[in-house]
Amino acid sequence: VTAGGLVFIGYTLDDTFRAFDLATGEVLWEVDIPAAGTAVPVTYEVNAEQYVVITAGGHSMYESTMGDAVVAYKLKRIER
Amino acid sequence: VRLFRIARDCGCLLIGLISLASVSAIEPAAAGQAAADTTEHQLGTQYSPLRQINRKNVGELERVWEFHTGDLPPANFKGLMSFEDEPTLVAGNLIICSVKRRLTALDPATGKVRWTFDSNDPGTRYQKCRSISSWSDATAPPNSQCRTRLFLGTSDYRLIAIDATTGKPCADFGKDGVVAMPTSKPVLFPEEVAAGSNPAVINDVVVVGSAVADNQRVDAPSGRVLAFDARTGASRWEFDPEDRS
Repeated sequence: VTAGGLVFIGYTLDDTFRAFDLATGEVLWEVDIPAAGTAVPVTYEVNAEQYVVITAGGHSMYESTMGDAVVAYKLKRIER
Repeated sequence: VRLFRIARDCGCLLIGLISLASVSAIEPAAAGQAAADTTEHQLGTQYSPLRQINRKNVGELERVWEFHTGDLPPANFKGLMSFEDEPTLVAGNLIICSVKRRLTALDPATGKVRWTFDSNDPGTRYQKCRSISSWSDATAPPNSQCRTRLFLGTSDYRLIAIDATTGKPCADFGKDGVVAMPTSKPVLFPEEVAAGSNPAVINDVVVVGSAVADNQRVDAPSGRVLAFDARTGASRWEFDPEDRS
């Protein structure tokens, strides 16, 4: 959950990472990731740019797609 | 600080629903943007005060880098494995813990590798790592070795301390950066008692939980909690949640 009013979550059996509107639950953004994102995403700021990072590695017990990826996202363009 | 206290309250209400921790590589921004450090996120606030990415522009997110640990299951893998790491930003490095408990420090902006550390985890029962912990010695001179250190448990019940900047073991911690944690009785195999979760660091004490292998024997070793001095690795206390009398 961020002050930007967003909830970022992996934790699905599909290979998708989503951002929800904290107020409405609406999916505002989703993206294919290399494997199931069975992990806690993090966000941080470097050089005045905010990043969101998720581990995409799957879970053998759930038989989701296995992987070894860590993927980072940021905005295409930062308004200053 | 006030902003962050509000933020924490929000986080508490939402625990269980959310999955976003906040970490910051840099000093709190001048624009009044509170920055949560790793200590705060490890206390489970699960909330980030960052707001550059928000409802209006989240659709404009794009991938900037991708890193692969190389620790993949072999073909026809029948065991248990899950890459569940919650990356940790500490001392300007984004620390990734692979399923084999190998650590990699990445440049958080580019994903480029700065160093790697192999814990040589046997990892035969359940291969996963959820995160590591970190601690800074406020009494150590700035930039001294292991002033800021990472703590990692292993599935054969070792507690490892390495320098957060260089990835080198902390010579002043345990034996060459490793404490071989004692089990309450001899183990049947190296991973019968494992330190799978990231330790908690409270003040200058590292607190390590344990996972005892199920269904191996009736009289299993204790799943006690052990605590160690964060500087030296010396034993501080132990706690067994079960009454054994």
